[in-house]
Amino acid sequence: MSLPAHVKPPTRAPIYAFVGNPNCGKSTLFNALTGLKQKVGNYPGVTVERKVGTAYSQHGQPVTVIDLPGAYSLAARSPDEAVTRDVLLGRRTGDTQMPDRIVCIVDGSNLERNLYLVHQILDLGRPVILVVNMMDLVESAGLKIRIDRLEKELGIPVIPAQASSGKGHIELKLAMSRTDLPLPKHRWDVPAAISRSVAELQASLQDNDGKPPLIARAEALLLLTDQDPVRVAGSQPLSERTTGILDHWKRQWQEEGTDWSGTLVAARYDAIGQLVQETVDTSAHLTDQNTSDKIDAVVTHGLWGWVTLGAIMTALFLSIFTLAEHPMNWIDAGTVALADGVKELMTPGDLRDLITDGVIAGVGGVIIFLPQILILFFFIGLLESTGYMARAAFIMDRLMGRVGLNGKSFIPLLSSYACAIPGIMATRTIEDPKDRLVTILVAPFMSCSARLPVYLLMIAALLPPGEGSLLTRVGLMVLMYTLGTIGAFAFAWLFKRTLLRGEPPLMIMELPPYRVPRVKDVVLQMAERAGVFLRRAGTIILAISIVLWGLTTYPKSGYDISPGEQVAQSYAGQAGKLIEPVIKPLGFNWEIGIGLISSFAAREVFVSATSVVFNVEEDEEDTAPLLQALRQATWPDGRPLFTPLVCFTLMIFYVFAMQCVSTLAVVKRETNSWRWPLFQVGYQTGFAWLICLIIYQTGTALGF
Amino acid sequence: MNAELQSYAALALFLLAGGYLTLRWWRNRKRSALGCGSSDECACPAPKLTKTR
Repeated sequence: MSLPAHVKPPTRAPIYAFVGNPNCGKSTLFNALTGLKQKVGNYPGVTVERKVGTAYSQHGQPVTVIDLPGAYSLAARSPDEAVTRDVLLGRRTGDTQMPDRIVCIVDGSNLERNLYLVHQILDLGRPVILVVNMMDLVESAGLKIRIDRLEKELGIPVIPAQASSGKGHIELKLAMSRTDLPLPKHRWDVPAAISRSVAELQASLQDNDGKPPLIARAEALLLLTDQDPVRVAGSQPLSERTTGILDHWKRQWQEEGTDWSGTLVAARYDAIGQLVQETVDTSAHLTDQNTSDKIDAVVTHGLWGWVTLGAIMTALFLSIFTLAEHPMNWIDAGTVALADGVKELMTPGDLRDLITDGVIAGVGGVIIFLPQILILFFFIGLLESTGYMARAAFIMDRLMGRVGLNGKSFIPLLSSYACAIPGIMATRTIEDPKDRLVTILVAPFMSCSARLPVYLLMIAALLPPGEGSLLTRVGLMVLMYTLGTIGAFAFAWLFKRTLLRGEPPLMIMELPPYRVPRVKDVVLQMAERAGVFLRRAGTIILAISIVLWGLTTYPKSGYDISPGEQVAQSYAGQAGKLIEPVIKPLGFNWEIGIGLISSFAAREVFVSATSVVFNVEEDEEDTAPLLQALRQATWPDGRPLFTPLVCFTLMIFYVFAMQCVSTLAVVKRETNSWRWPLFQVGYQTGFAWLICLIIYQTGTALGF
Repeated sequence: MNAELQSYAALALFLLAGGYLTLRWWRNRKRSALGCGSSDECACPAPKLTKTR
């Protein structure tokens, strides 16, 4: 078979595009094939990640592979899907060459839905390889896919695979090594009522918009599938003639009452349905409820679903407190012993103070929370890999719909429990700009992992050992996470009714089958987190601790004053005193103010800052653990500083206040304006201040 | 090490740490178009590989 005119025989390493629905295993396959030979960047002009890698064919020839963003259809509805469409249609040749060949990856257990995108891609008339992934799920679902029949019907190589275990990789490499990849067969007919318009649009797109024949046909079909021609055309406006033809046909169909878009989509699904009927044996599958369905009947139930979610959250935090206790004690004892060792070895002086009160106290104060953070990520990873997270998203979606949030906001909000930055970046999948902005504005309310050390420190200060049961501690922690979530939903509700009015679109959610968790992947993810956390502690937290020590030490006020007076007169002390009038009504003094200011670098720096500030104040040869130092801290009149009410108020402040510079920078980039990050600082911190004022003043009046 | 030498060493380390933080901020500001733009600062796994453009 000879190649059509628009498909040029490769004179260089061929470029393959990996395309597929979200969660079809596309990136797993891409990573397996390219290894570390990847380049990650952004598509110019949009904040969509661009991943390009080099794979080697079975004959050792280099092959360029582009991992395109996941898409359900070429009729793009989000920036990610628009990039996929534009690259495949050759509209981004300025930054990404049009792929010579396309590898379509589909989830075999959801073949019919996944084939919709494949079907559209086959229309492009380029060489395609189809990878039917997740064959393990196909088997466990009792399905049987006749690969040879599928290959015959589509006229392209079809490879069964299980990307996560390496099955099918060699076969795919062999297929990618072929120079004579066959072209797909067009096996569907455009409905008669629409076919004339497709022909007219195709001709006009060829003649007036300069499109190659098959691309012109694909674009004509897209123009008729999507109600919004501007969205389809993207940055390349349609010619006057093409727009005229489109308007003419739409007017005619509207008069006749023809649903052209629905007819076209239905015709495509009919063709796919027929194909699936011929190639998939579903007899074994059409039996009773499977295990996933039975579990789902409970965990997605209106009442039991919430009970399950609450139980899982409680178990998670119980584990954090109980399992991490011993490793935390070891780290604490090690930190104290290290500081005491340095004090014994070195003569008194600034360098010794810097090492013990700055470096060891600052970095040690943060590292102590490593075991708890690892346990948190272990359980989150476990819940993700079992498939439970999708169920949590499902039950949360009902609530989110009531406050006006888009169902697609769940994943960004969920990611924000780890860190608001990936959460805010994940909002790129939300098509509606208003919904996206609302999600960006409320995402930082979700308690990120950087707040965890602050909560844990304050809970420990609030409930010393022997006081308060384990359940009280867990309850306090759950309360902080719940308050953040309620804050996010409440402000989303408010914004959707005031600043950013609009109806949330319906979301169709796919619930993957439950799987046995891959502990290896969970542990690897946890190890990656540990690496990031330790690298951060060893670089930025270390540097901030040294700078904080310097700011509490300079300018020197003479050698005859106490360490406490020295801190008070230092640069940090002056800054803390500057904001003290604002924070004093909340029960915070200037020393806590230093922690609040330094938290803008990163929230967990609050712990380092208090370690530095309160340890610097101690003038002892033996280093006191941080908690002891906090309990000894007092106001000038001798009242204890960290009362239970102050600790609680401080936690509430951290739940609601916007204190992360990195998050603000990302919000600025995502919204392309300083207006929204500044608004975020104002409304979040203002609300935090107000609610803390009410809590502290009411608590004080009630005698707490 | 006597107290005077310790003061100089501590001051030097303080300036070095301050310089490192400034440099890091400047570098991140310039490459903020890549990934989350924070290279570890958000404690989320940063893009491991170099950008293409």
